[in-house]
Amino acid sequence: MQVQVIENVLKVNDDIAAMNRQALRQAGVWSVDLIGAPGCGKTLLLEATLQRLGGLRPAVIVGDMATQRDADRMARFCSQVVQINTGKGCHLEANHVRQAVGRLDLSQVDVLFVENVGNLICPVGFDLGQDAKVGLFSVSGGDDKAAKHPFIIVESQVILLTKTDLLPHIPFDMDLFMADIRKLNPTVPVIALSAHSGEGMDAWIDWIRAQSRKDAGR
Amino acid sequence: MHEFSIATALLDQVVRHIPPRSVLRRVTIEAGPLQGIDPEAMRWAWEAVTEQTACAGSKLEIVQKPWRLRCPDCGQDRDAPELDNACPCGGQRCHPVDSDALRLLTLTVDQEDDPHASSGDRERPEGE
Repeated sequence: MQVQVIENVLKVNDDIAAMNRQALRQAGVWSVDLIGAPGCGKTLLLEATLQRLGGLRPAVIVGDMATQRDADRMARFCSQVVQINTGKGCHLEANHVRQAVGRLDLSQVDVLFVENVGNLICPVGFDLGQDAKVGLFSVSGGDDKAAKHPFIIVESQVILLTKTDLLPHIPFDMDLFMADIRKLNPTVPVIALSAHSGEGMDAWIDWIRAQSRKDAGR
Repeated sequence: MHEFSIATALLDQVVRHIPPRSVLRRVTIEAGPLQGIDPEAMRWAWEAVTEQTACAGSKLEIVQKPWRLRCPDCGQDRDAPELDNACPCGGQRCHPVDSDALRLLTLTVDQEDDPHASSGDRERPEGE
């Protein structure tokens, strides 16, 4: 006997993500999911971002398989930080975020940053309820990584190329990297930046401000 | 190995849809190319997550969907086996749309109290 189902495989996750999205929007919080490989510079970027937000009040949810280290780093710049340890899990799921959001005082938050587990593949398919996904690629990761990870390129609302201060020291074909992105996503903004030197950080902060303002009017 | 993440979610979902007093024989899913699923790894992951569950021994069938490409110049959508920005209209700006499907389509089950239960889908043990 055949049973017809036709349902998204990640339906349970999607349903919880929809609840997260509604709760965050009702609280006036704009949220963003940072997705990138281990070592691509997510945590340093967030540290640099938290110091440049001006009047926007941040909160951070940070996912790692183990340790509290990233939360300790963020806590120097942000009073509302929740570390999630996924144990064996290679990505955050909507339920992780739901539990973490429950530990935040959303009335004191304008922008919620979610730093996903370092992984450019698994996190992409799991909706967390965020307003925007950000795909991070680093100069040191190599110029071929966009073409190799099409899902994050298509899903991202902005793509960041990090560690541009290394460009003089590492062969990186910027034209190839951009062409690979454009094949998959003709319109996504791409910001090249360095949290270390500060180059490009203004463009990233401007994007956050513009996006959060735009979505606040929805 | 994101196939393992997907297999874990799929098992939870399949268990919710199996009719009472049924034995699961086959699961059919469809996957778009953006999901980047390797069929062999996916079947292996399914075998691993179903081991020692009521779904053990069931087969996973993966229908791999083609790319769906949209051309902004002629406005047409078309299916293609590979990602290709070139359009038959001459445009060079095709980009993927709706290529991220990951859906459970059907379950094939044998009902334990049904004497006419189809055994057509029952898999023979390996090596037979």
